[in-house]
Amino acid sequence: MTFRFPRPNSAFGLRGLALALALGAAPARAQSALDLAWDAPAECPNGAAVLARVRALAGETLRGSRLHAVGRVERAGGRYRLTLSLQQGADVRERKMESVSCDDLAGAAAVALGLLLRKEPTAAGGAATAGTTNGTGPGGGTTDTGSSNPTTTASDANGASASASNPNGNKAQSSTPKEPTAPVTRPPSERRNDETPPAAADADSSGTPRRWNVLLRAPFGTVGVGLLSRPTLALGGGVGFRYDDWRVMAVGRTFEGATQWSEDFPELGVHIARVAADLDVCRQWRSGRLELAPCANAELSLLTARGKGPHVAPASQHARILALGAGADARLFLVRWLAVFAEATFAIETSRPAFLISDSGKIPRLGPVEGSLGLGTEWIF
Amino acid sequence: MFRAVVLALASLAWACQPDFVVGQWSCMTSPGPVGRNDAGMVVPVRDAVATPWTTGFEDAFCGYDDAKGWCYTDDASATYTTVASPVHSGRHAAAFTLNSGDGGTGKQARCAREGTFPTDAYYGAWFYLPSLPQDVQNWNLFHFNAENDSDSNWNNLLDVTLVKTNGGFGLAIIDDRAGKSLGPAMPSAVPVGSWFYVELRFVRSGTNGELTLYQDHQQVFDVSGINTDPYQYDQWYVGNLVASTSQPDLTVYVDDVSLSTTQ
Repeated sequence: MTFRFPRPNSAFGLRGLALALALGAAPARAQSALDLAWDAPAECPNGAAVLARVRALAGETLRGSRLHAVGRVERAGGRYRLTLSLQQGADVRERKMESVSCDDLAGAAAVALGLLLRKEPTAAGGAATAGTTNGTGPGGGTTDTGSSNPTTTASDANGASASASNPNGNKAQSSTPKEPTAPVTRPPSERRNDETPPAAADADSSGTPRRWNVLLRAPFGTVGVGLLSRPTLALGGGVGFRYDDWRVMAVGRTFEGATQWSEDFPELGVHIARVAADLDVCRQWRSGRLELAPCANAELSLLTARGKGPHVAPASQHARILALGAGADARLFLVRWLAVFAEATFAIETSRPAFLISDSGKIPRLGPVEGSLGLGTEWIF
Repeated sequence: MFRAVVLALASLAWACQPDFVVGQWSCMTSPGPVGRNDAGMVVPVRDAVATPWTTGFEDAFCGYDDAKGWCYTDDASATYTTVASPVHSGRHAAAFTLNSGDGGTGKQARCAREGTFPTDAYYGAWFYLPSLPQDVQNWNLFHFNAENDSDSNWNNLLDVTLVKTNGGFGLAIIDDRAGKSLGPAMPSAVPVGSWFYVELRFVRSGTNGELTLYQDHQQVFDVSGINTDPYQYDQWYVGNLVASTSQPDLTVYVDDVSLSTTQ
């Protein structure tokens, strides 16, 4: 099936198109038209639907284009593969994309074509590339296998971007500063059950989802077991960021003072004050309001110890302990910008210092491992 | 892979075990007599000795330190320390060990209190002898000194001493001023390898004093109407002293030392 649109007087050549596709150079022409040949399985959107999306993106600028495009969608295992060829004269450029969703591929093709054809009044110095983001969602996002650029995100001169949605629905981006654009994400009625609407905190000013958030964790309470001879409570806070499905948090905690008592002379002990800095790297999965994330954890503790007890001439000593571990946390989103979370961490200490009072016999050495449970709130910006 | 990482980290934790000293406890070694004059010279403590008083060495030797007492040895080869076994009660006892293998020189490792003691009081302690020496002279467990303000030196007063008896060693009171045993004439042997209690009722008087010796709460000797202590101030030593012995290591364990005006 071939659909033809009137061609504008455009000097937008394939070289420029290729550059735009590959490097994000701006299309500098208005008035374009498109010839699209679309071949896809029956369950996929048809050519008319693709062109409708292109029209929604590019509007009247479709008229007069001299761009020839051929889109072919094939089944490949449980996925779909789109081969999108763009032709002008003898020059042909080809892009390939894959997705579990044929609808996503159609949307990606429409975005790619529409942005190329869209009128760009501030084209000079602007930037636009057509393509799709590299989907990374577990459901299989739209994967761009284009030969020139492994990751291409369509952007206009003002920095607005457009990319096809991935199956999680939280990466779809499409905006222009001047003209309304057709949403590339599917309407809510078409979303799968495992998709959640993008939170407002995840959206930019135009309402499109953001790929990142700043995270503030406060207040934050933990109880640790294993390092000292009794459980110790801690309070703290942290800051971090989310990028796509990954999260990095830097957390500071101060622990309640604890005393390690002598095994031989119970009146003697070592008072230990502790502060710790944690770095967590987590991979998160979200379903509805709940998010689960396994994490890798590194913790640096600074311990200040001082002897205590009758007839003790105390002295202070400092020790640093690095602990490496793993854990998991769960977050429940109360609202889009606030979540409560719980976490469990198990860490192995890389050293086991002992604090001694001379001649007092044994004071237990610090434990080799520590388990920690935490609870707190997280603010999403 | 994961298991290897965990094992590597655990190995690191066990391998890296630094020690940090965060204080010095003064109870394991006695600083010596606490009485000092303005010039720093050691002078007797004249304070009235409060009763009841006891120490089980649960805070090592600070029970003596807190009571203005002290512990000491007279030779580098002698030691006093706390032990976790054997103990009569609590978690610790004191071990007073003499290394008198030279067969001649007297040795001592003891703890002492001094001051104005009650006129009539009971001096008690539990003792444990792990073994008996083949040859020993003047093996005393209690010792009393005394003096007045005008005296320049402490005067030996009396001892509770282990003397040879049938089948071992038994308790006897020695009058140091007279240089003779007051009795009993045939003491019963103290046990070896188990705790026994020694208690002395000491009524201090220059004319009408009294001494009553108990072993495991049983009276084994009593004498009254004698000059026991004509002085104002006393010292009470508990521990291990011998004039000579061929025993290489002679240890006496002591626990639950007490002073009371009632039995």
